[in-house]
Amino acid sequence: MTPSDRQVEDITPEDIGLYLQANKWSEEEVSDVLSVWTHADTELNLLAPRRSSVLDYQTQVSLLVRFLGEFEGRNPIQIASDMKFTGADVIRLRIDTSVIERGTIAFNKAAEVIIQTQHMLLAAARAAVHPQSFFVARPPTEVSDYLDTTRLGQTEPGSFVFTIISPVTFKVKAEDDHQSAVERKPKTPFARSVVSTLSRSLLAIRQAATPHDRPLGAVFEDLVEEGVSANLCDALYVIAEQSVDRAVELDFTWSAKVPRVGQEARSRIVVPPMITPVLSDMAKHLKQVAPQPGFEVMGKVERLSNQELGEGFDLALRAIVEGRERLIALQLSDAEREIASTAWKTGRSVFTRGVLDKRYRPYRLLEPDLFELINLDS
Amino acid sequence: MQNLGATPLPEPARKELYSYAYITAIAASAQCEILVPKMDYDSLDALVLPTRGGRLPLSVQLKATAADCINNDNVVFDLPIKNYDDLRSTERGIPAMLVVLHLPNEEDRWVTHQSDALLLRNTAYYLNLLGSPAVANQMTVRVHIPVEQQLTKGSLLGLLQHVATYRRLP
Repeated sequence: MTPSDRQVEDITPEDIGLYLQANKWSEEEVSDVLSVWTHADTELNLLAPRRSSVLDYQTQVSLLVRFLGEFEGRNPIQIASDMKFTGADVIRLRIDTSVIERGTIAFNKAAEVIIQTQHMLLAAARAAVHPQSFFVARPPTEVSDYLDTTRLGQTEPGSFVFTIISPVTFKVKAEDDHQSAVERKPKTPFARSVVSTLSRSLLAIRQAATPHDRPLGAVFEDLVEEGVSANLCDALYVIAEQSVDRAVELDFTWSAKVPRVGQEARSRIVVPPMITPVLSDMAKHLKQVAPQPGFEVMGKVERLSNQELGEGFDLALRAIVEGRERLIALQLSDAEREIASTAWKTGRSVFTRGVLDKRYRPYRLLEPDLFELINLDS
Repeated sequence: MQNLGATPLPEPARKELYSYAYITAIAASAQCEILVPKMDYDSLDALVLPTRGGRLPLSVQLKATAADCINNDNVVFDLPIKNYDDLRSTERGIPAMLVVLHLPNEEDRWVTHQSDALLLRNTAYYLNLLGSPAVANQMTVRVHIPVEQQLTKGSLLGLLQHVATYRRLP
């Protein structure tokens, strides 16, 4: 299949060069109007136009895209689309449709996929800033600014393919402002970090589909560091629900403008249907165990020892958390240890505030910014 | 069936279709594909694309004439100036040539169907105009194609081989 002129319009010689470089082609010979490229693995040659001003430029690009389609075993339309967006990471989300739908998708399904795809990107962007099991507050400015730059590309045939364009040339303001002259070295753009985080988190979820000797919830808690969050799980669950095969299949074409050293220009990740149905439960679990900043605790000192609590935790408070009596472990400074010791001796209560982490037993209260004695009995 | 008042296909359109039939048959015999761009904006009617080897293509501008055009072992043809300028231009990446199909005067002899053959008359000639001089003509330029430059399976393969080796036409 040869793409139409419209499908290849706007593709520049620079786009072609970047695409070829990213796909293991190297420029061997150059003339005024043409350059000869050789493929690293096959030693195959192809000709690429060097100037868009020549009479038959669009014809040359059409033929080149057709040839690359045959060579890569891909739809030439996808290749043309990738060439147009060499300055962006392109993510293709494939929704499996039944044969009777003839490559169409119901409006309500399409709308749901688009909304959840945006949620998926938002979750990845927030995890790229700081991995967390659940995001509730407003996203930081760099995340909102990044989302404003992403685009929904043309849909493509092949069941039903949604195309997401994530320009890597986008720079968050902070990247410009806070860089000193010394620090001015090539840095991964935030947009690339977002898409890399998404890719890494999907791989982690795919890996979680293999059998484990631990509860799945505990496995997912460990995936938080990989960028998995309750928000991502919720989005993927709903996306999978729209697909006949209940899988989430994403194809990544990485921008040639930010090369990934030693890695392929494209990658594909399928989150299989054996794991997608439980993603909703995993989202609930991650929400439950999500660290809660600013959590206030009032309780009695149960233990003042680092013998049993481990990992530097030297105080156990007994307190009511969400209606149930719980033990909560804390790490204390010397001054706080003094207060705790007084509370232990006098039987008085303490009031503290920090980040509640419910992934552990006993629960942990991290980074307390307040620790004081109170007298409930007076 | 309702009479939709269809008009007969005009003669230029009929000649064009015969030209495509001719080049398609020759290309197929040389194991080449023919690609037809939707619009002829750069004097390109068809691309001959080999299915083997280096697969370097050849652009073709097709013309047809039923006039008595053979003179002193040359096919004489008045080529529109736009096509002449496009074909002589060095500003293209794919080698391009003019192909003129010489048809009989009588239209009923253009194609003859027999029980064992489909005969397309007469023959087509090719010409490489790359690097030809600029002319001041406003409408057409008279070009002369040596009659030995017949477009056949053998000559097409030779042209493609030359393109594959030198990236230009002889």
